[in-house]
Amino acid sequence: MTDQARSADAPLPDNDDIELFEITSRAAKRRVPAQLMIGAAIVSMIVGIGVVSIFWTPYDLNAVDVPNQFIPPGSDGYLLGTDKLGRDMTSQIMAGARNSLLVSMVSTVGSLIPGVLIGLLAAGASPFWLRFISRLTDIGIALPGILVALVLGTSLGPGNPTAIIAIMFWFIPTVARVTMGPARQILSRDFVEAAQAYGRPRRFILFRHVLPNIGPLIIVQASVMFALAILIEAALSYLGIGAQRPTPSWGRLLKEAQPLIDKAPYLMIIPGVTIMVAVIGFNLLGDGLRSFLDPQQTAKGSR
Amino acid sequence: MLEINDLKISIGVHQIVSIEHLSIPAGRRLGLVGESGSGKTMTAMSIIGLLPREAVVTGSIKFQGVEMVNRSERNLSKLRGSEIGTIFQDPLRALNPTMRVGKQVGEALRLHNTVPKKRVKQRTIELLDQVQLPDPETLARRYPHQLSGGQRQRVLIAMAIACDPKLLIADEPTTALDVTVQKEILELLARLSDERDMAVLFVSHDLGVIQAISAHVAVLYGGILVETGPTDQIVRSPHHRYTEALVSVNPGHPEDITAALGRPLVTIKGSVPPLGSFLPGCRFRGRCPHEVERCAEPPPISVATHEHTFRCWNPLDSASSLPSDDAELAAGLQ
Repeated sequence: MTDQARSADAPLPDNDDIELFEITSRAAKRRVPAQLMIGAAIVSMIVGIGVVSIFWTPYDLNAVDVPNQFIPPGSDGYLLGTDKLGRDMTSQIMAGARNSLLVSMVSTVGSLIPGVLIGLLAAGASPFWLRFISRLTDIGIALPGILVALVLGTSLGPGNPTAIIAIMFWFIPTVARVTMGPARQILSRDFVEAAQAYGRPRRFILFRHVLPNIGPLIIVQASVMFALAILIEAALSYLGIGAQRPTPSWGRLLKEAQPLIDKAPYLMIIPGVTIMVAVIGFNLLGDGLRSFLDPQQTAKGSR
Repeated sequence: MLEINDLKISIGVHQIVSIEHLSIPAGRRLGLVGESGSGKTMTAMSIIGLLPREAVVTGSIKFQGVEMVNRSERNLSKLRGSEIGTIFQDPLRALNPTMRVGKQVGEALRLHNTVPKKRVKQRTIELLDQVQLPDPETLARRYPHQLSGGQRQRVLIAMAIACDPKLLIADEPTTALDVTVQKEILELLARLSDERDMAVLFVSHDLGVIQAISAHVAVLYGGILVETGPTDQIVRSPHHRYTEALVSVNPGHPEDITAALGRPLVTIKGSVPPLGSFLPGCRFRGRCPHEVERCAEPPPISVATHEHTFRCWNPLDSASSLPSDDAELAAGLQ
């Protein structure tokens, strides 16, 4: 019967073609939200600047040039002006993007992996462990992150690693919490029971069936966390726990500009606006992803 | 091959299922019929140990001589999928929405190491072909929501039979499908069970569906087996009053539709009482139109003919049967 069916509509196109076609048509049917476009544009611009700064900046980052101090933004050769030692702001902002992205990336990924693991295993564990881990994450969330960071800063000494560890301490309980709820919801779905009935071990079900179903949620959470991490990194550097000279950092630029706010307000405004734009960019990206990956919308689009 | 003895399932203080004896020999199809809340799904799921955490199971369920009750999760999951296959009522919800169906079928093969890794893909296609899905290669690459209800149920059947189980538990597999697809699926299941000598426990609330697929039936009411025997015999001459009622509510075959149209639909008075509020004695008391005084005592197992047993004080055809105190005889005749 099936052989007949197959020969009836004989020259079938290559399977890969069919699949490609289905995917593109499905994507086309889904509308790309404006936030996603704007967010993606800002984020790729920042990433681009950060990458370029690894190879090239207009001036040497730490080259002191006192005769050229306090050149206002827009001047010839110094697009964003210079600071009190004549260091070029454009170069510092560019290199700051690199540091910001690095710290945020490492701390976000570094807290996603253990956080999701803890959340998943807790969701699949017995009621006792579930409650135990829930309370543990409650404690983690209740601790004020900045205070934990300050304590870490004094014991580990300032620097990027301290900032990363502080952000991870901050994020892991949240990620675990955000994973746990939806994972439990998925666990109560019929296909999980079906998978059990087909003899799939518990762990296997968690990673093969539950994880992909909460994937979009984790991606959205990651983008929101990334934006937050940029903000926290800047805050920690501003407080002197994060990056130290000569490591470039937006937060550190803010700190250095603080005593000069009357004399050269642009030194504060420029990194401030940069941080704001970056955070808005990642937030828009997160929001856009949220509506783009929304399972309801996916179902509608593909039917 | 499957032997259930003194099975009792309870949640809290309520006893949900109490079955003295039920057995399925290798290769046989047994229908388990009863209305919502009669404990039929509970009974079926207790075989593979998939009950809510709060459920307490006592008694014995022997599958190929191995005790299943209170077996460790690890040992059970070895049997699930490999020796015992399961299909569910709602195939859309029983499939993972984020995985291609081919992958899901392949997973069953990979996990129980039934075929070498290289052959998994080929075997998946073979299985999809065996459940009569058209163009299995293309279909294997689709996601569950891209299939029709019947196709999904076929995929689920392919998953269930992937490892050549000796027993297939089918929990209302056709309830969510429309009638024509229902018929196809029933035929497919019957064929697969014949070809592979695979026993089937077919759970349904529809006596007509059971009649179409299995030669034997067990009628469950309030968690108690009220009548068991060959399906045709039971449909033709039910003894227990509940079975009688079940048979009479069936509107009949589509051929009689014109005749059926003029008649009002027969219903069973009332509904299954909530947990814990069954009257003592026969569980059908209160809804049964033929109640006698003795019904306040639990009725014993009576033997009608060779394989046909029931438990009722005032059966439909009392002349042809005698209440038997010899429970062993009754059990042996299953």
